[in-house]
Amino acid sequence: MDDVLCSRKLRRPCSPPLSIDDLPGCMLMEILIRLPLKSLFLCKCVSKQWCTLISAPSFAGFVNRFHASSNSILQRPFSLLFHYHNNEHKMKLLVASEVPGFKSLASSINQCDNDNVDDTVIQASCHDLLLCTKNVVSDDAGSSSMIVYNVINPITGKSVSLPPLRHSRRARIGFIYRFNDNGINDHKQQQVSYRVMRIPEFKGKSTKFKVDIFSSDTGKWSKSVVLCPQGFWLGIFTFVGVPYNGLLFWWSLNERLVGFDPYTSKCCRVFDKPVELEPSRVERLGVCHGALRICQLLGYPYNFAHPKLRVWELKDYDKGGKWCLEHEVYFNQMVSKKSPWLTKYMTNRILYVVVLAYHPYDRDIVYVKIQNKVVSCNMKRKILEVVCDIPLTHLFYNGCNVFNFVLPCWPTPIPSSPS
Amino acid sequence: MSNTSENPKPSSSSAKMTLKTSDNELFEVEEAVAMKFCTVKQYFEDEKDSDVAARGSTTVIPLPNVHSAVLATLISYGKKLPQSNAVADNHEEEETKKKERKKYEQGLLKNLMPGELLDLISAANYLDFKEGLEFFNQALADHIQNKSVEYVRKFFGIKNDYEPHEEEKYREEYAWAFEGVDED
Repeated sequence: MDDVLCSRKLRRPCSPPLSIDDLPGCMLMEILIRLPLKSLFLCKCVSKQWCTLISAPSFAGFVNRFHASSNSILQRPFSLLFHYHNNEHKMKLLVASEVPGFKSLASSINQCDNDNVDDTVIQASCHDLLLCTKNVVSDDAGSSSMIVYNVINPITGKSVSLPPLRHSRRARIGFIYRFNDNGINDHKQQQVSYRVMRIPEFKGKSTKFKVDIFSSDTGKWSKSVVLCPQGFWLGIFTFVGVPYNGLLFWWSLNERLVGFDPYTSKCCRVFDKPVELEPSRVERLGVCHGALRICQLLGYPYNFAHPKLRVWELKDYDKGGKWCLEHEVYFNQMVSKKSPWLTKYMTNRILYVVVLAYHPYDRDIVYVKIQNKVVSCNMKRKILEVVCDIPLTHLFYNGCNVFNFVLPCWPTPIPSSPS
Repeated sequence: MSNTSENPKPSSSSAKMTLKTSDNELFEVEEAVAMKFCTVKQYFEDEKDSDVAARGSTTVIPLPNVHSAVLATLISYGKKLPQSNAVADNHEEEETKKKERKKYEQGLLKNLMPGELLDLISAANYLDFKEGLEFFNQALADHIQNKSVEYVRKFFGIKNDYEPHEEEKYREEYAWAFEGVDED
């Protein structure tokens, strides 16, 4: 074990000098593994010895094991990532975060592909890994054009390209990774494998549909057929698959939540809708504090009633699933402490609000877009606060994919695939 | 700091042990607390084994590597931990105790100089005091969490062995890690 501290004399108030035997090298280790990721990377710069210690393959294992048994996720900084079209109709990435440390993330994402071109588009995410394409693939592009996906880790800068795939209009995509538990040898880094599942668009409800699946184990795309006896119906607002508990979830237009396993191409879970669900659309499927959530914005925009937001959480996942109405708030009851204009705006009869994302672990907070700002909405305390601006002058935003990027306790490695 | 023994609350075990620090101070500690220091526990058990004849007087256990100031803090922390032989509390009592402990911990950390954390960790390590190690390791990690590289180097007394251009390159490559760091 490394003995960084052995030769060092620690400061102590009027006491005899410590002998080398008093300071096992693992003492420093015990402190370091408790540091958040950002500090760990900073500490690599302290000295070459520290860099070696932190960069050792076994270190990641220690960090992961320590955090697996702690509640540290409740303090991990995170950011929202989403694309918007700017005034020149160019797609840009917005990194919206309430904590520092993410400003460099956007450029890091763009640089991962070794191109300094500002047009990496995130298509899906799973924790700290992002699935991206280099260009905006226009819907007009015919099926003769090929699309190349890349899996990137913006923290480490690593990137892996998937083999090209024939483009498919308005296909839905989902991305998930898994740790393969070898657990035998503590010092080996955990092996990661991932799958990308692409569902080419089909109209209406279907009990059987084709998918393309990429496996990091084979390094190839393959075709599969997924059976879904309860019926799966892609809506226009059905966006990216949400990875949760090893499955990719989509909200089906026939008012069900459906989960697929891209490792087996099976439909593994179907959950019925919440009792209180209205026929209007489900706004956002996401995960908050380890549970799936959906929401609806009601009384808006066509009813000219004051809009209200309802958020449901899926409980009893392993016992058939039960949706619980966690929050129901009227926007005109919400106030902003720091932005009085926002409080005033919320009293308008016609509001334009888009639900962007759930907070990854604070069960009271949801992020919304109001006017051209990302606003955090505390549904329990009924408080709104502006997080950042979205550089747009037009109000229209077709709310599409918004990703939660949570800094992990240690970056996830991207496995290389056999070529 | 002087001897911190107090009148123990009436409990099932009020056996005491005496610990002697590197600066020859004696601390009388309840057995229940002292047993949390596994090194002490081991010593005590070895002593018991080696001398079957009942020892009338309390054993004095020498701790040549621990200074009195440090031991006082560790004992104080050890006393606040839930005792393993305590009667099981109901949920309310448990919650109150938890809150009290939290308050105590915050107060303790406020009065500590950051440098003392290293001493406490080193002593807790020597004494094999698991709960103390966990607490003080976390406290130290929390303390250096958002500090600059220069602060960390100074704190641990580490010499920078990077060339300026190497350090510069690293800082550029991982700019996000250096964002929002506390001013020194």
